[in-house]
Amino acid sequence: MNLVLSKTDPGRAVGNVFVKANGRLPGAGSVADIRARAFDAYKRVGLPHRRIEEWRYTDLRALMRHVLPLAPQPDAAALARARAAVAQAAVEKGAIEGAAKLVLVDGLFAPNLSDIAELGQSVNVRTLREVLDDPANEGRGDLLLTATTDAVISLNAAMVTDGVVITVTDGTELSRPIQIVHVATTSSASSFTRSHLRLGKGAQAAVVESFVAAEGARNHQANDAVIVSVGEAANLAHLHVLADGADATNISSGLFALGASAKLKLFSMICGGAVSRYQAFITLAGEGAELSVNGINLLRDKQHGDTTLVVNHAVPHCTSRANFRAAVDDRGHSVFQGRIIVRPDAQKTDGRMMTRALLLSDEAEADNKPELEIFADDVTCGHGAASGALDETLLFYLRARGLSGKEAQALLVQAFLGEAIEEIADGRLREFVIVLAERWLEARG
Amino acid sequence: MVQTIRNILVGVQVWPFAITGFVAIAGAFIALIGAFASSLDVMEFGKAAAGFGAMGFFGWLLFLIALRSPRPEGKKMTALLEVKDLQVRVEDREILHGLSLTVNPGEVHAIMGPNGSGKSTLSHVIAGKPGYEVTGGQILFRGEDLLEMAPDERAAKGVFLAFQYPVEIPGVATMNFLRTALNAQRKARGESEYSTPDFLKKVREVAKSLNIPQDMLKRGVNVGFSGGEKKRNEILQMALFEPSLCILDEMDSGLDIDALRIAADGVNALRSPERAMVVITHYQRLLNYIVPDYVHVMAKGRVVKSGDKHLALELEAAGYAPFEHAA
Repeated sequence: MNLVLSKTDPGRAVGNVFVKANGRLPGAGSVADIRARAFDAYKRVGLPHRRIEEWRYTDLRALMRHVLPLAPQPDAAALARARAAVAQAAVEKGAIEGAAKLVLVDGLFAPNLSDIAELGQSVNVRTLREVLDDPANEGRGDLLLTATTDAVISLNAAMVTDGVVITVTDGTELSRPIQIVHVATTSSASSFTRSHLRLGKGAQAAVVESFVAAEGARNHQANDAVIVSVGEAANLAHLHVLADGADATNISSGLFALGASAKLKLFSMICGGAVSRYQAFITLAGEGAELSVNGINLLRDKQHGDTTLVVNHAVPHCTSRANFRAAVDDRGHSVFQGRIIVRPDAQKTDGRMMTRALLLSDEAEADNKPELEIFADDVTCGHGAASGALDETLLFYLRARGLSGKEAQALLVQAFLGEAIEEIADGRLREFVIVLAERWLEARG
Repeated sequence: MVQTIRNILVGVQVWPFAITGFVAIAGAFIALIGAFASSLDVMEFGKAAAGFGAMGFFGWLLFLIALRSPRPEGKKMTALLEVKDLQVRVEDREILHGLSLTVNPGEVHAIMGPNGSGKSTLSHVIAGKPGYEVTGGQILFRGEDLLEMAPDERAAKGVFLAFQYPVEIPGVATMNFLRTALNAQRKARGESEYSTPDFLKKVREVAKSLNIPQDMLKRGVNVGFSGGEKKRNEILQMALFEPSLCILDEMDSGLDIDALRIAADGVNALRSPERAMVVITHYQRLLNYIVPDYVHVMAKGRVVKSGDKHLALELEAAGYAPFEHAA
C-alpha cells in the first residue's frame, strides 16, 4: 500500500513562515514550547476548509490560499504612514468620541501613537511582548493558551508578535472608551496580534477594536484574538469593527468569560475587507450573567463576511440575546453562524438568537445557520433566521411619496439595520456605527 | 393643415408669438422705409430686416390661428390630468380597455364602480406602481406624459395617491419619513429644504387639525396604527406635500362613521381652486362628506357614464347592475 502523507500547500507555506518568524517572536523557554505545540495543533489541520463544519461557509483554503510572511518591524516611515492612516480614518469613517487609542502597527505596539498616559491609574496597560519577555512572570505562557481547538486561534498563539494586556481594577468606571486600533502599512504580509482584557469586580468599560489599512498597503492578512474576562457584576460594552482595506483578509476571534451578574454588550460590524471573519466564543460562567450580542454585516462587490457566535451557557439563570442583520449587495457573501449551548446544569437559561439577511442584488448570497444545543430541561431558548429582498410594496409607497429608488432603499436598509444598532447602549459607540453604516449606504450611490 | 397647427398650439403659450410678430413686422417696415429712402449701402440691412419681418409675420399668423381655435374645457389652457383611451394589462388580463378622463384644477371627481371594475388599477397606474403594463393610450399631467416618469418624479410634480391600504414601515419614524419625503420632493423641484422648526410647526398644526396625537408621529410609519389612524396619516401627508392632484383610493374602507367624518373634513380643508381630487369609492356614503363636481361610473375597465353628484344618488338607488350591462 502506498500511503501518502498529504501535507497541503497552506500547511507547508505557513511552516516556512513559522520557521522564518521564529527569531522575531517574543518569549523564550516555556513560551517557545507553547508556541511550538500550538503550531503543531494548527499544522494537523492547516487552514480551515469547508469540510470542517465551523468553517463550512468560509473556506480559508480557497479564500486565503496561504498564509503570507510576517510583516517586517515598522520603521519610522511606516509609523508616520500609520499615524496618517489613523487620522484619515477618523475623517473618512468617523471617530469614537473621547476614545483613548492603543495603536498596533503591523502587529507591534506603537507607544508614540497611543494614549496610554490618558487612561489613568485604575487601568493597567502592558504590551503582550513585554509580558512574554519577562522571565520573572511564571504564568506568562498562559496568555497564549485558550480552551478552543480552533486552528486559526492555534496559529495565532504560535505566531503572535504583540498585543495589549489591559487590566481594569475592581470598581473602576472608565469614562473614556478604549480603542485598540490595528494598522497595516505593508503589502503582501501578515500580522498576528493577541490582546487581553480583564475587568475587575464591578468595573465598567467600553472597548472598541478596529482595523485600518495605511495608504498603499495592499493584500494584507490579519489574525487577531482578544481574550476577555468580565468580572463579577462588571459591565463591558465591546465593539468590534472590521472596516479594513478592500483587499484585506481579517480573521478575528473574541473569547469572553462572564462572571456572576456580569453584563456584556457585544456588537460586531463587518463593512470592509475582502475576506472577514469575526468569531466570538462567549461563556456565561457566573449565575445571573447577561449577554447581548448584536451585529451587522454590510457587504458589496465580492466581499465575504462571516460572523460566528458560540454562546455557552455553563451555569443556571443566565440570559443571552443575539440579533444579527446583514445587508448584501452585488456579489457579496454574508455568513452568520450562531450556536447556543446550554450545559446540563444551566437550568433557567433564557437564550434567543435571531438573524436576518437582506439581499440587495440577485447575485448576493447569505448563509444563516442558527443552532441550539440544549442539555438542560428547564430552559427557554429560541432561534430564527430569515432572508429576502426589500419589500416592493414598501419601496413603492416611499417612491410614491417622492423618494428616489436609492433613497427609498437606503431608508429601508437603515430601518432594517436599526433594530440591531439600537441595541448599542453606549451613545459614543452607537454614533460611530451609525456613521459607518450611513457611509456604506451613501457609497451605494 | 390649419387643424394640425391648432392641435399643436393647444397648450402652447401663444403670446410670445404675437409679440415677436408685432415687433418684427414693425422693425421690418421701418427698415424697408429706411432702405428706400437712403442709398444702396443699407440694402443688406433692409433684406435682413425683411427676413425678420417675414418670420414675425408667420408667428403672428400662428397666433391668429391659435386665438380662433376652440379651447378644450372652456377657459383652461391645459387640463391637469388627461387620461386618454387607456389600456392596461396585468399579466395576461386586460383590466382597463380604453378609459378616458379629464380633470381640471379645482374639480372634484368621484369614480364609482363595482369590485373589479378597474378603479384601483387606474389609481395605481397614475401613481406609477410597478406590475401594470400600459398597452395603449396616454396619461398627461399638465400636458406632460406621466407614464414616462418614475413614481417619485410624479410625486414631485404634484401627484399624490392616498393608499387604500397604507403600508407599515417598522424602524422608520413617521417624522423622519415625512421630512425625508417632503425634502426629496422639494429638492426635485429645485426648491430649498424646509428648516426643522418650520417643518415641525407645520406638521404639528396639520396633525392637530386631523386629531393625530404627537406620539403617533414618533412611532414607525403606520406601525400599530388603527385603520382610521392610517387613513388620517395619509391625509396628513397630503396636507404636508400640497399636491395638485389627489387620488383617494377607497378612503372610506374600514372606517367607522366618526373616523370617516374626520378624514373627510381633512380632505375638504384641502379643496382649493388649484387642486383637483379624484375620489375612488364603492359607496355613495363618502360623497355625502366630500361632495364631488362630477361622478363617473366605471364598469369593466371603462367609464360608462358621467354626470354630476346626482348620478351617485341614482347609483345608490339602482345599483351597479344596469351599468355593468351597458358596458
